[in-house]
Amino acid sequence: MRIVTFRPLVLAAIVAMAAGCTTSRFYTPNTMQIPMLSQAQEATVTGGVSKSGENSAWEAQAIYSPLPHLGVMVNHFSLNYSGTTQTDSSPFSFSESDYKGDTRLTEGGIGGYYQLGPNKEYLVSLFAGFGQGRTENRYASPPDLQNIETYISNWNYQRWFAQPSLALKYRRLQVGTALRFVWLNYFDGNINSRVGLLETDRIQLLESSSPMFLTEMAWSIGWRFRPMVLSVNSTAVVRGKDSIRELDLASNFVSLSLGVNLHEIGKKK
Amino acid sequence: MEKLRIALPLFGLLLLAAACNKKADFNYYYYEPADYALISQHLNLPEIPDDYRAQLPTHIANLGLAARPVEQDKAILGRVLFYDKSLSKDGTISCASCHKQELAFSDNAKVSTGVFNRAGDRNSIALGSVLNFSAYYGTDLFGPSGVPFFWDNRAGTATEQNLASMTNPKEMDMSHSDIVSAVQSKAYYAPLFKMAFGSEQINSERVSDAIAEFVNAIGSYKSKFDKEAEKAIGYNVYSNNEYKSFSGFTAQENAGKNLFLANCASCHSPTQSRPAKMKANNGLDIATTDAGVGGITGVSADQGTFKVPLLRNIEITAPYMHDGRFATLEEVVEHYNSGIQAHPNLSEELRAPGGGPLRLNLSENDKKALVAFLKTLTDTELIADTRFSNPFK
Ligand code: HEC
Ligand code: HEC
Repeated sequence: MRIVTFRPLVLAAIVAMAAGCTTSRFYTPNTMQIPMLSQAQEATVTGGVSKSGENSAWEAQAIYSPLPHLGVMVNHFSLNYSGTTQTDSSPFSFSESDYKGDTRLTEGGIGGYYQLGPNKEYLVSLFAGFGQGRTENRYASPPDLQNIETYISNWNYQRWFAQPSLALKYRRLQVGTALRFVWLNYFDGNINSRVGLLETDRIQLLESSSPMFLTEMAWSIGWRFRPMVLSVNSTAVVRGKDSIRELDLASNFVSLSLGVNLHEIGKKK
Repeated sequence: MEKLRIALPLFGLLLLAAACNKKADFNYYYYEPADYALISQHLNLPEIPDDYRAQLPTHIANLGLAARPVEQDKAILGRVLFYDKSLSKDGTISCASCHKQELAFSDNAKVSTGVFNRAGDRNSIALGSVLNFSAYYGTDLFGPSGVPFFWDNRAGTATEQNLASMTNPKEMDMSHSDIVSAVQSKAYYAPLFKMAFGSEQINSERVSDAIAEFVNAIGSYKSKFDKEAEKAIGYNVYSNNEYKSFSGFTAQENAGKNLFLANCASCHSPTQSRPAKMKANNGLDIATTDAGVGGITGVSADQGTFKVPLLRNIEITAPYMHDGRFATLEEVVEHYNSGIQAHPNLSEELRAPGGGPLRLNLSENDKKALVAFLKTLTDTELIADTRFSNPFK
């Protein structure tokens, strides 16, 4: 197959990424790790970063195949963000608060992979896993209360996922796409409700919609220079319950990552 | 075999998923735990405060009025200060001594008694008679919707007003520094001030600012009259609906409503929303002993004129008039029926075509009907509303 075949795919991916990166103080999807495993004993470790405006994230991911067709993965996600949001409103006025926040998520998954196609260039896989995370938001008080300490809200969440993916691996290029069915459950939280009725309402919605079901989609394009892979990744929440939209969950998260294929180290090209 | 390798772990995961599902259980707090412990030793403040914002009924909103925003933390602090007797010289009087919730925040004494049993000059004004301070008082004073305070309209804002009460020798008799040290002596005020103003600093402006916020949050709009007006949306006094009967009113109450609209509404407001006139002389005396608004403005046309009070909750705010001269509503109605005096500044509305005092010549049934209508203005929810009750343990 010639590279030309991928052009629409590559274009689509670039467009998806150009759509930009958003973060949310409630839920931002981490970069989906799209398995590129083709045989047992392969292992890849990847570090990723993302930066847009005031928001920055780093990620560490690893995948390993102990046995043929079986893989295990771990992902860690760490995001810091800030922004401004309307926290209260009345017919006469509204108040906005600046906020800063961070979220950490660690998860593990296990699954199977197969190679398909005449040249075995298609890699299909299905992984599932579980993770736990914590998000903390710190809101500055309204402008007329300069000295007051900030209002903190934080919550812990669990996330289950099932992730079917499809990848193509060539000598110089690898591309992948995946769906992730996420089952997200915010199970406890400590919320300073003084942040404002509007924001408290949103958090209550988060609580009452838990557990929630989200569908996410990812693209990734990687340039291979053995044993390394440099990739651009985009993960987006494409579908959720209606209430999810009111929660303004992040819609798209873009990252740049550098992976090392451990099994390629020291091997001839 | 290979398939099992994948299927088994997946199956295990699913089992785990089912087992680990914890139900969301967020903990919402308002006060820092240590602050709340301190506060709770002395005060009954709910852990998650009630919303002090007014939700005006549609029949009032239709008049183009909106509720004023309330700063929650200031209203909470203001509630405590409103009931705190240590804000008076002899430690016996709080705002609530003369503005009692069960009486729609008025007083049943002819003239209220202040510190050291000093008698005041005038009858206390029912704070709960005000539809909603939010919409009419304190804001936009000189604009079309500003309604000034006191019988003589001397104060423009609730903040101005309550400082005047605190420093009035016949009410609470405190100097500004007295106020500050009284508040400072109680530890639980520190966190409340911090929440309301961002720092624990206490000064008299902050004290009165907080009390004003509380007073401004007191709104009365849940009387039988309001419930009926709400059902009869379209109740618009400026249209022909004005004499339409309310379905939930008795025949007597409806008759009283019509008498009120014909004879009283031109001053007291047909919708019980804001007075139609800011000041008037209603013919209590032929000559003025209390100059009223004139005592403040010095204008001769203002001599003997007084604030036109709203009549919400009038049933429970006896005695009546600025000097509390009438003990019952029957006496008030008889005054308007047959007792109007020809004061030089007697208002137009209460003059007969020749200029002399108007005589309504109401029948006994008419008088009873008018009183029955006035009693539909009582808001029993307001006087039972714990958001406005005494928070001290
Ligand atoms: C000793 C009795 C007394 C005390 C204590 C007192 N008041 Fe009053 N209040 C009155 C009287 C009497 C009037 C009417 C005075 C006048 O018009 O001259 C009044 C009028 C008012 C009004 C004007 C209402 C209107 O519609 O014009 C407000 C508001 C008010 N008081 C609030 C307060 C607050 C707040 C406090 C505590 C800081 C307080 N009062 C303490 C007796 C008292
Ligand atoms: C000219 C305007 C005007 C008209 C018309 C008028 N009032 Fe009044 N009313 C006033 C004023 C001014 C006061 C306060 C007078 C005072 O205290 O010196 C008052 C006081 C009252 C009070 C006592 C309120 C209180 O809180 O103590 C009642 C009750 C009352 N009016 C009922 C009526 C009724 C019923 C009618 C119709 C029959 C009526 N008024 C017509 C101007 C008017």
